[in-house]
Amino acid sequence: MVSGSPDVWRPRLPPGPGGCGGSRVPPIPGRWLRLACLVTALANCGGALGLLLFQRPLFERLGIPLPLDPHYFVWMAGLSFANGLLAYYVYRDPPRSRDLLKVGIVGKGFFSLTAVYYYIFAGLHGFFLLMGLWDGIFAFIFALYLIQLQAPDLARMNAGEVWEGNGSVPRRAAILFYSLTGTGRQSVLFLKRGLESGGYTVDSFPIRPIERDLFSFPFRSLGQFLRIAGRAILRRPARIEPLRLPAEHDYDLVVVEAQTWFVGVSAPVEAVFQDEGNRAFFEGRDAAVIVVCRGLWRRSQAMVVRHLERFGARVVGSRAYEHAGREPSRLFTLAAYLATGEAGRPRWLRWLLQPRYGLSGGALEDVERFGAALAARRS
Amino acid sequence: MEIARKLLEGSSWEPFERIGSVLALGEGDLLAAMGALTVLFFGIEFAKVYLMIERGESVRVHVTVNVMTILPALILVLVLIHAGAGHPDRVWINLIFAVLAFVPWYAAGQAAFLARRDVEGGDVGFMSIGLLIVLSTGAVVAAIA
Repeated sequence: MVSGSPDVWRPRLPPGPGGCGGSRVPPIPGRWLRLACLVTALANCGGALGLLLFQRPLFERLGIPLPLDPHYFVWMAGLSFANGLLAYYVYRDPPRSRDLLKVGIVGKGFFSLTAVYYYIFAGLHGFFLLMGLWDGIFAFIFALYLIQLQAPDLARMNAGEVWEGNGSVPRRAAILFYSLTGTGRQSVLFLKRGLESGGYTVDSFPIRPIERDLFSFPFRSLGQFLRIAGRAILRRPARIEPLRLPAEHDYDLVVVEAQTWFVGVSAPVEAVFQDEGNRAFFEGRDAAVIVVCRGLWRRSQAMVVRHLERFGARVVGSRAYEHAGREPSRLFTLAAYLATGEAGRPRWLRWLLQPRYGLSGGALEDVERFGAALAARRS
Repeated sequence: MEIARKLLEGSSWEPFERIGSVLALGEGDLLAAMGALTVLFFGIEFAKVYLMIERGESVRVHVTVNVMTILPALILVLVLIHAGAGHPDRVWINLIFAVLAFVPWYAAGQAAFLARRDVEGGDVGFMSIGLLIVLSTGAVVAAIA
């Protein structure tokens, strides 16, 4: 759910990392995917009717044996017709038809897989294999369209949009942040600089876990890391010191900095939103999110954005920033840094590791530009 | 109980047995096996991409997404063990096959960019971990076979 009706405020930032600039493959335009739904709707409906009416002469012409049990064939044609109607309803209203797309993926995928299976192992006629391949292609198209229709607000923000503010004047921002290794803290400094360049006064609120022995770095043992990892995978909450966020305040913008721990947002940051007492701090305010991580940022970003919306905030921007370098060096650099607490170690693995840990200089400049764009948004 | 026994006796698992025999990676089955794994890996990757930004509050979805990041590698481990048991004379060919299966895994992740720009693509980092797991398993299977 998107907060309000976003109007884009320029300057538009360049698309973010994490794939926005990481692939030369352009996305298939939505209008083409929508049109494809209409094409398969016509094919399914028309083809089913055609097979029902002209099955005998068509099969005789193609040399296909007539079905031993014509009833099953009629039922199959009926299901195919229904699948065509389903695709037509997707074409009519794609954003509200995501569940229909899931049904279509399963239906077409199943037909395709069984057609291929029976062609290979049971001598099914090639005519049905063609139908199966057609359905397989459209199962793939439906899957792409389903992914494309998800969370359009996140797609727009990741494409660089920063949205209009809520009309407040104060120009004071609060940044809530947590940083285990220091990367998050560094990004907050640059974000703050960007906001201040736009005339904002910025206050930072560090999130401090109560379990300091567990959430401390460098790690004292492998067991410490495994405990954090296990809790991150199983979403075990962390306890944090009360933030003492004033319900009555004049911050017109609240920014939450987060990181990714095993695909999701870190437990200390999520703990902010598990305390309903913090709701008043966010309610009715503009909010923004930055995620700093090795490489998997989508789920963390979505989690924090949805938490903010649940708390009544109006999310105006969100960006994600990946560590410097390319995979697999980045992952091994992360593992080595967590193990040793120092960049570039162990030395015998230097050929595999990045020379520095964390965000690149260019990425930090992007963070600062994001801060400036937030400050420049129309209020 | 009698009804259940008769149901089980009369059941047909033929498609799964057929697919199982293909995944034993016998001579002549490699293409079909690669096709089956390609379809499976595309399904896993696309489901993972979809679930990534859904149900952030759900522990089950979160655990599922975590498993899915490495699931293709775990599947290849099972395939190597199954193939090693079925064709112990082809263990090294099977290992090469398993490594080549990383291509459709990567392609599936990259294919998500056809839908939208703000996806993560094939995570080569986790694939590297998966590759280490697969190579280790292949070596152990070869040693035992």
